[in-house]
Formats: sequence, structure tokens, C-alpha cells
Amino acid sequence: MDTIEGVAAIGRDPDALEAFYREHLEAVQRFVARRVQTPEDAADLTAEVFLAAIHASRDYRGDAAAPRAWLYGVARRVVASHHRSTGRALRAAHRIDARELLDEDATDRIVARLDSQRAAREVYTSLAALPERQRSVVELVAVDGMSLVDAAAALGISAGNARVLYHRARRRLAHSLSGILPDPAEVAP
Amino acid sequence: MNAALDSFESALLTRLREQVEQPPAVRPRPSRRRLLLGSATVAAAVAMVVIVPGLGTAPAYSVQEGNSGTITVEVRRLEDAEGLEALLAKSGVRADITYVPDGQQCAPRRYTPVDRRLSGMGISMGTNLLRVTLPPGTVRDGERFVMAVSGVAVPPSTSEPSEEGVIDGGGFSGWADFSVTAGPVQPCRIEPSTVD
Repeated sequence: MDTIEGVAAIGRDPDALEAFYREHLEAVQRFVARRVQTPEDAADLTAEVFLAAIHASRDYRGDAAAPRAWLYGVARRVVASHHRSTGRALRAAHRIDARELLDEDATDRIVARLDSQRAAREVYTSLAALPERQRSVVELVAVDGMSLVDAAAALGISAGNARVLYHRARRRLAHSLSGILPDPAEVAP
Repeated sequence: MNAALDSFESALLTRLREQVEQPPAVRPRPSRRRLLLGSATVAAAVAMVVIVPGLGTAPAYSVQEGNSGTITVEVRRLEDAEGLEALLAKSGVRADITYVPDGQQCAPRRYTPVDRRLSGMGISMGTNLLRVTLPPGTVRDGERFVMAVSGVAVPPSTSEPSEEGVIDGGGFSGWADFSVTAGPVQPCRIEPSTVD
């Protein structure tokens, strides 16, 4: 499934989609759990991320980002859009009503996942004041543990650009968050 | 990679496969068909189903009360808000429903929402269908469910996804403001849409 063909096919081949879903589901659910508070939102956003990936897959070329990094880039845009809408304004077309698929056991598992990601979620929340471009890099590195190179690929920018944005963000947050943002050398591959 | 999926994960996979097997541009209105099928299944098991005939072939709206006490409102056309309020009142829910024309919206701060988390209350939009879920206890004595909705039909688009990754497969694009209040609700002061 890590071939270009595999990802490009998820928008038209249900079996390719299923393989992709099974491979990345846990990562997507953890990604979402680092960003939202409730199991209902987590369920909805997990569905939204895969729907967005299905739609964006026809443009996947594989030359810029590995499937996981590409998917994180998609997921980040979906979650950022969710937060901007604050749950009160909706734009929906063919949405899956994912929260209606939850039963008690599945909800318990999502709550456990939300609990396990609490520390990362606090870091995510603390980044709200950063300008969008800086924030996008810092999120993927400090919240999701990606390397600067992978984060740059996920965002479609150069590694050098990502490094500059990361260090600017560090300086900006130096007084409020000292010690929270890791040195990028620690997370580089 | 192939760990067993739980009930939610399996159900979500099924829905996602349906999206790929039945792209909206090829088979229009899959959302509505699926939701109506779900409603019919529920209707057979619940105590009360009230449907008000509209002008078209399908009722403009319906209110269903499930065994667990969850109330589900389905709106197919934005008409007769007062009728829907009256129907909700029969299910014990005081409501203030406003339909806003032409995709516009109400100015904010018409009312003060209750200061508690409204767990499980939700609203979803599909093709030709707006569905609101009110779990038991959402609207307490002396409170009102407030909802203002506007929407316009959107033809399926083959254009690229928006910057936010929003999928536009056609259907119903709209704005909704909904909550529960214990205080007064001001009339809707209409302003232009801020939804993209």
C-alpha cells in the first residue's frame, strides 16, 4: 500500500481504500485525539479525514510525501477547518454522520485514546497564538512527532522553509512555552 | 496493520466503501436514500412517528421519538417552521425554529445558550435532508431548543477540494445555528452568509 498506485486508487477502488484505511486508521485516530476533546468530534473528524483523503487521492503523485505524511497534511487541514467553524456553522455535502455509528464500547475506546493523548493536546492548544504557517510546522513536529523533513513534505514546502518557520515559532513561544518545543535535531530522522 | 476493527471502525469502513463504490456524480442523492432507509428501520421499532405532509411528495419534516427517548428531527424542505415547533411541542420539546432565506444567516447573539455541555446533540446535513438529534434531557423544563437554518442546493462539482479539504460532491450547502436556551430569543436579524 505504500506505492503511488495504491494511494491513487483509494478514490475508485474500494479494496484499495480498505487496505489504506486499515493501515492508517489508528494513526489518524491518534492524530485527531491530539486535537479534539470529545468522542463525537473524534468520530466525525476521523470520517472527514478519510473522506478528504479519498477526494484528494487523485492528485497524489508520491514524489513529495510518503503516504503517511501526505495523509497527515490532509488531516491537518480538515481539523483546522473544523476548529475554525467552531461547530456552529456547517458546510456539509455527503458527510458521513460518524457519531451515529458509535456504540458504548467504541466510545470507551475513543475516550481512552483521548486520555492517552492529553499531553500532546495541551501542546496543540497552546499553539493557537502562532501565525498559521508557523503553526502548521510546529503542530506536525511538536504534537505529532514528525521530522522536519516529513512535516515539510506533508505541507508541500521545502525542508529549509520548514526549519525557518519552526525556529521562528520557537523564538515567539520562548517566554510562554520554554522547554515544550523539542529541538528539531531530536526529531529529525 | 490488519488489527481487528471495532464496531465503529467497521461501520465507518462500510460507509467509506460506499462513497467509493457510489460516487455522488454517478448516483445522485445516496445520502438521502441511506438516511431514509435508516429512518424506516427505526420507525418499525419505536413508539411514535409523526409525519406532517408537505406540499411535495415527501413530508417537509418529521419528528421521531426513539425507545431511548432520543428525538430525531428530519427536515427535507425549509418550510412551515411553526408547524415543526408545534410537532416538537407534542414530543415535549419547546422550540424556536427559524428558516432563513437565500443562504443568509442570523446575526449572532440572539440568545444566551445554557451553560452546560449539550452532549450528543447534533445536526447533520445531507442531500435534501437536515437531521437533528436531541438525546433525552437535552431540553429541560423552562428551556427552548433554538435553531436557525438556511441552505441552498449545490450541484455536484468536479472541481478540486477546497483548501480545507472540504469535499463538494453536491447536495445541500447551508448554515445552521442551534443550541438550548433558558432565556428569551430575539428575532432573527438577517445578514449575508459568512460560509464559504
